[in-house]
Amino acid sequence: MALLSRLAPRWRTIGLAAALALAPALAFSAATEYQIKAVFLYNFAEFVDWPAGSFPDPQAPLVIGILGDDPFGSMIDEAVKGERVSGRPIVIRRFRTASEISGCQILFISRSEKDRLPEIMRDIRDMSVLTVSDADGFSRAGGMIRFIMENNKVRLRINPQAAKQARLSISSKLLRPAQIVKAGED
Amino acid sequence: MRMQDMPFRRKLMTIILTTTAVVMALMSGAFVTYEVVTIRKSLARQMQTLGEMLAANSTAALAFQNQDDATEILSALSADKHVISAALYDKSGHVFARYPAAVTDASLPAAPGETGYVFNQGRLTSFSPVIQAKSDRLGTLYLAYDSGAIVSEWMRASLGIGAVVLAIVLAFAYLLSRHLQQQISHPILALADMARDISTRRDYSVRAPELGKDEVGTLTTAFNEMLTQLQDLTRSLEEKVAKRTAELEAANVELRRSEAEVNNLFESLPGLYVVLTPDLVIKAASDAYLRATNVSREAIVGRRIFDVFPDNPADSDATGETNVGASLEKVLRTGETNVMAIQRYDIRGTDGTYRERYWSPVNSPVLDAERKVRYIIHRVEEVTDFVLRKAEKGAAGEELRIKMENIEAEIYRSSQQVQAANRQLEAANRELEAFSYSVSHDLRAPLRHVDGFAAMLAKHVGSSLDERGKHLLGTISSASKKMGRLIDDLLSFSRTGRTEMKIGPVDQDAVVASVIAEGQFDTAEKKIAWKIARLPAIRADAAMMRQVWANLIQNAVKYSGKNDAPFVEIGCQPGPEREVAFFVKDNGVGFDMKYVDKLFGVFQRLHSSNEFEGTGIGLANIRRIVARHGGQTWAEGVLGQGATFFFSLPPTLVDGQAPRTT
Repeated sequence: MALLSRLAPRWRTIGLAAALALAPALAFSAATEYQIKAVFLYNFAEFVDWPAGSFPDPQAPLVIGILGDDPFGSMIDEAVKGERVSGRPIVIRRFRTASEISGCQILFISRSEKDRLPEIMRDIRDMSVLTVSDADGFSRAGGMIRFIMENNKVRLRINPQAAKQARLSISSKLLRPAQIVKAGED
Repeated sequence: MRMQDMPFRRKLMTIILTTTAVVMALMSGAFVTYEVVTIRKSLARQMQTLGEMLAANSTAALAFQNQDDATEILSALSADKHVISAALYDKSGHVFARYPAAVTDASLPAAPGETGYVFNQGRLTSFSPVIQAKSDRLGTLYLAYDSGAIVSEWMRASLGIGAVVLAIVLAFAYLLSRHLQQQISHPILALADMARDISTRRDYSVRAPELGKDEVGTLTTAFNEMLTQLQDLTRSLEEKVAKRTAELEAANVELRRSEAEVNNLFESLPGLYVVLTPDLVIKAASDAYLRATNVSREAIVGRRIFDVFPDNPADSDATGETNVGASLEKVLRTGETNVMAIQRYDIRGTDGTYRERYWSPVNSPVLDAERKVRYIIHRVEEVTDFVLRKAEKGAAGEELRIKMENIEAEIYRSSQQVQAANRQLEAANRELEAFSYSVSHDLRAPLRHVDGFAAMLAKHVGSSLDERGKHLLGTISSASKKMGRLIDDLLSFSRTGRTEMKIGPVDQDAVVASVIAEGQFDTAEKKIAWKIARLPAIRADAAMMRQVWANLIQNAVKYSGKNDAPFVEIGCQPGPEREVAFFVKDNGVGFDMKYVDKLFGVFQRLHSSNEFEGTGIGLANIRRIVARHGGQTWAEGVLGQGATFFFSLPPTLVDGQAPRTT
C-alpha cells in the first residue's frame, strides 16, 4: 500500500477499482461489474478517434453520456473524477430520451432502453458518437460496442461497420481482444 | 635454450614473432572488450525495442483486462530463445500475464521496477511502461534476457575466428620477418663469420665488406679499422720480437765469447790454479797446472781432486792427500785463506809411475753473498827443483845463486821438519791432556774420601774437640772442597780443549741478558750500574760463548764488589786488526799492567783467594774458547781503577762484517 499512497488520488481510486475487479477470489457482484464497465467506458476514449469537429475546442471535455436508467450511480462520477483523456477532462451526462442527446462522444445505453434501440439508433445516426451498451440485440440494432459477460469477465463485442458509418475510427488494438460482429449480427 | 645463447637469426625471429603475438593478443583483447560492450548495448537496445513493441501491443489487453489476449501477445516471445521470462504488470503492480506460462511468481520480480534495463548475473532485464496514446499508464512490461548465453556464444565464435586470424597473422609475420631480418642479420652474421675466421686463422689482412651506412655499417667500418690497427700492431710486434731476438742472440754470442775469454784468461794464467767446489770437485784448471801435473783438462774437470791425484802408493809416508784435505777442510770451515807448508805430493806420470814432486799450496775461498764458501781456489807452486837442487847440485855456476838457492831449499826443508815436529807436539799435547784429565778424574775419589771422613770425624768427636781441633778439622774440610773445585775447573778446562765445536748462530744480546738475569748480581744493599750496548749476532759454539760471557761478567761483578758504586760496561768495538772486539769493563780493583801476561794462565791469580774467591781457571778457559774460534783475548787495567777484558772473533763469524777473502 506504500506504493498506492504515493500515487495521485485518481490513481488511487482506479487502482482500488481495478484491484477489486481483478481479485479472483472476489464474488462478481453487480456493483463490481459496473465498476469495471465504468472504467472500460472512459478507456474506450484512448482507442477511438473522433472526426474533426466533434469537440468545440481543444480543451473541451470528453462527454460520456448515459441514456436510460443509470446502472452506475455515483460510482462512475467518482471513477472519472480528475481523469483526462488526451488532455481533456471527462464529464458524465445523463439523458432520459434520445432526443436530449447532444455534444456527447461516448454514449452508454442502459438495458432499460433495450426495446427502443432502433429508434435511439436512428436519432443519433448523424452524430459521431461511440455507442456502448450491455443490452441484448445491441449489435444487431447497429450498436458499436457491446459488453458481454464471459466466465464472469467483461468482454467486448465490436461492430466496426457501425463505427465506420459514424466516422469513428477504432484502434486495431481495441479490436484485438474483442469479438468482431458484422452488421445484422448480435 | 636461453635467449642470449640463441643464434642471432632465431633471436630476431623470436623477437618479431613474440611482438606480433603480443600485439595481436592486446588488440584482440581490446576488440573483444569493445565488442562485448557493443553487444550489450545493442542487446539492450534490441530488448528495449521489443519491450516497447510488446508494451504497445498489450495496451488494449491491459485496458480491457483481457488476460488471454495478454498471454497470447507475450507468447510471441517464444520466437527468441534467449528470452528467459516476461511479465505484464497491471496498474496496481500485480502480475497480469506471464511468459512462459509455467513461470512462477517467485522467479519474477514481485513488483515492477524502474523503467530501463539492467545487466545482472548474465541476465538483461528491463521494465517498459505500457501507455496508450500518452495518457494513462496502464501497466508495466518486464522482460528477462539471457545475455550471458548470447555473449558467451559470441565469445566462442570470436575465439575460434581469433585463433584462425592469429595463426594466419603469425604465419605472415614469420614469412615476412624471415625475409626482412636478413637485412639486419646478414651483415652481422657476415661480420661474425669473418671475426671467427680471423681468430682461427690469424689472418688480419682480410676486410669485411661494407653493406650499408647504418649502425652495422659503422660497426663494420670500425671493425675494419681495428683490423688495420691490429695488423699494424702485429707487424710492429713481430718486428720488435725479431729485433729483440737478434739482440738476444748477439748478447748470447757476446756472453759465450766473454765466457770463453774469461775461461781462456783463467786457463792462460801463468800460475798453477785449480778451482774446486765445496765438494772438492775440480771445476777448472789452468794450462800451467795441467802441464805441471801431466794431465789433460778433460781427465780432471768434474772429478774429485783426490780421485785424480791419489797419494803415491809406493810412499808409505805420503801425507799430501791428508794435509791438503785438512787445509781445504779448514778453508771450508773458517772461510779464510790457508797457506800450507811445502808438501811432497807425487804425481803419476803417463806411464803410471809416480814422480817425486814438491808443492807450496795456498787455498783461498771464494765466498758468496751469504759468506758461504762457493769455490776454493787451490794455487800451487812447483818447488821440486828447489827442494831437490841440493842433491843434484855440485856443478859449476854462479856460487852465490846456488848458495841462495841452497839456503831457500834448506828453508823449505826445515819448514817440513817444523811441520813434522808440530804434529808430534800436538800429539804429545793431546796425550798430556788425556793424562791430566784422567789424573784429575782419579784425584776426585780420594778427595771425596778426605772430605767425607773429616765430616764423619767432626760428627764423631766434634763435641769433645777444643776450638783448635775444630779449626783444624774445618781447614781439612774446606781445603778438600777447594781442591775438588779446582779439579772440577781443570776438568772443564780440559773439556773445553777437547769437545767438538758446534758452530751456529748466537744471539749475544740474549746470552748477556740471561747471564745477568741468572747471576742475580744486584743485591738489596748494592746496585750495580750496568751499561750494556747492543752486540752483533755471531756464528760460534753457543754453550762455549755463554761460558765466556758468564766468566767475564762474574769476574767484573766480583772484582768491583769492593767499590761503593760498582759499574759494569759491556760492549764491542773494532779490534786492532779489523776484527770485532767485545769487552767487559768494570771499576773494580783492577790490576798492574806488569802482570798482564799472567792473567790468562792456568792457576795464575793476581789476588789471593782470601780476597776474591776463585780457582784461576776462568780466564784460561776463556782464552782457550776464543782461540778455538780463531780469536784473541787481552786485557787492560789500572791498579785500583778497574779492568777491561777483551776478546775478538774473526770477522767471518760476526754478522754485519765484510768477509775477508785473502
